[in-house]
Amino acid sequence: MNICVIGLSHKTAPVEIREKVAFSSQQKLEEGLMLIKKLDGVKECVILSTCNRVEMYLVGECNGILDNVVEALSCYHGIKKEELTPHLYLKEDREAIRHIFKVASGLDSMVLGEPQITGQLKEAYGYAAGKNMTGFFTNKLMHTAFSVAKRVRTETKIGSFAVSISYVAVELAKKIFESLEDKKAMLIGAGEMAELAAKHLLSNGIKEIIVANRTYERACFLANEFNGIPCSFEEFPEKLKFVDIVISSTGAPTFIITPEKVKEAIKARKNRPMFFIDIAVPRDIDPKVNEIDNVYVYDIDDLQNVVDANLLERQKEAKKAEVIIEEELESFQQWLKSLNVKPLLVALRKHFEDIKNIEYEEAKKKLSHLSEKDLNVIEALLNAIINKTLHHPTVFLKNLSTMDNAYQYVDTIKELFNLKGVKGAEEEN
Amino acid sequence: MENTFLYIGFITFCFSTLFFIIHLLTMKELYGKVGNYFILAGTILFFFYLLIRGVKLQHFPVTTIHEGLVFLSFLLGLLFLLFYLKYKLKIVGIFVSPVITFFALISIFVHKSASPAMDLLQSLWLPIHVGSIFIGNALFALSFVFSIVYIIENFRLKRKKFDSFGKQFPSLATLDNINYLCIVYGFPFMTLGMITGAVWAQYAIGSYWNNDPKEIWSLITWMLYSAILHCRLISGWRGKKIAIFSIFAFLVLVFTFLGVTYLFKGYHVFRGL
Repeated sequence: MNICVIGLSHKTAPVEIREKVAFSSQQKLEEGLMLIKKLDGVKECVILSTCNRVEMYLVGECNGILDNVVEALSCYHGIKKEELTPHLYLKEDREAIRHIFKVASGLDSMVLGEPQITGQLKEAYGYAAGKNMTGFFTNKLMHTAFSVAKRVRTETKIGSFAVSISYVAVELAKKIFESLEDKKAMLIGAGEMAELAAKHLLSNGIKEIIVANRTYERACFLANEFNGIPCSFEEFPEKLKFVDIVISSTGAPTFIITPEKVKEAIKARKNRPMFFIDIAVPRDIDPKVNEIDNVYVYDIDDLQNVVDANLLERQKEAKKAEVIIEEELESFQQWLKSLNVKPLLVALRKHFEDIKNIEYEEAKKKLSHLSEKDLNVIEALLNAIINKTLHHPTVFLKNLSTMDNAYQYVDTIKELFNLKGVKGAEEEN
Repeated sequence: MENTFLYIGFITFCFSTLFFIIHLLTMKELYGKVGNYFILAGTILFFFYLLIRGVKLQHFPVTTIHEGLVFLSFLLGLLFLLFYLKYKLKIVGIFVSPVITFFALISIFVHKSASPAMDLLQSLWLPIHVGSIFIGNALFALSFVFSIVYIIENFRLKRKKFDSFGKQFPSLATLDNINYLCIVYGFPFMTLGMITGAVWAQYAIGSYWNNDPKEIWSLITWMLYSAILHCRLISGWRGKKIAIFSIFAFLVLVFTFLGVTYLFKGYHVFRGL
């Protein structure tokens, strides 16, 4: 029984391949699961399909499974085998488990430590379980993976560093104002990043947003979208004093916000702090504005620097996460080993044979009058008793690995017959 | 007996500082939490020390500089914990615990065993006068600490310097707000302390104002803090300017508290120096 991972991700495959191989609907996912489960040797199967990765977690006999999967995938998705193979990876056993733990904790994600992947994996597992594609091993494996992800999230700070420009802007705003709930913002100009920042501010409780634009219609349109108040471009300097946060992203060739204007505003505001986010290139806000007391100006480079610094912090935290993963991997391996009943069977038989041999030798001394033939009959009798006695336990133990509480049986038997020294198969090898 | 409380209390404050330093180095919040518990323990121990000493002396134990410093450490611990509970200030203990430990350390250096006080001090005025002055002083000391944190945090936000250490700082708004609260609560206590002092002096010595150096410097300090409140409430000063002003005012306060005691003569000196 092996655990293996076959798949591709943003690290090995370009988007053109990923989108072809993705199981992008529940329908397709179900068909995919059926397809893989039918393959020779596959006993349990979970498929994770996101925009950054398509991975199959398989339990069964993994020898030669890769070819079968490639065959099935290329057939189903209508993609050439040669096109697919170079992007696929196959990981087995220890490597596979480690990979699954990493994926679950977001360590393999494009944005290091992002939390969505855990949810996506939970969904994928839930779906496969609902279709009866999972079993004893995948259940344990997935639940362990989720608890590893939880440990990583709570024991490291990997999730606590904002790594996108708009999140960094919100974090900085909170660093200045504490709560954004009674604060007002102004969006000057438009643009994807500026609008995203405005959206994040709104979802963090900003009370009101004023939208200024060179074309008033555009201002009205955006104001409508953000539930804000439109304002003509000429009016915005007058309104500066009413707002705490300004996001600027215009195409203006020169600075549109000067120290003089801000000084006026800050005076009218009785020095209540202001936070300027300048996303425009060329910049909209004179950097000298940052020198005014209680005013904080961040341009796109400043924000990007924070993002970069935070990414470095996440990498540091990822190192700690890997230690956790190794720990969990070790205990999972221990659990797997405990399921291996072969050494237990050998030890059990040896235990009985040792008893037989001692007792038989003792008895032989008292039975010197018996012929060789008689003695052979007696020994055969003893062997038969052992075989008959051990027959049912042997069959039972061999089937044990599919039962939820297998390790309890193993422990009990070790305890009953005093077989404490029995090790897992891998250690013996 | 009471000395046990004093020494264990001091060691407890040392441990709080130690744990905050470990917190700083390892970035693990657990150590900061332990540090806060040590501050709590030290504060309780110092309270019992003062209680036992007060019962022995039969008056409020703030008449020697040793007792004054112990009382100040106790108040600082207590007030910090109240702010901590109210505002969930994770990292500020790093700045507060060394200040407490420092005061506790000096208090041990100037430690003398309790001796009966003069008749002058066997009065209900003592706890009211000195008690409110000390509560004011402790709040101003906290204002000083929060101002320093504000200056650091403001510098980092202006210069765009970031690391995981700064992430744990409270926001500028919180720091500014707490600084304001410290002064706005500290000021009436200081005022009350000065008025009760004047009234007490009238009863005991026969004059409200005796041109004692401590009286003069206290008045200067009082005027500085009233100026801070004025600037904030009337002129709308905020943030950095107020923080710098608060730091300056506290340095003057320290001079009034310690400097005047050692440099000038007057009836306000602590006993036993």
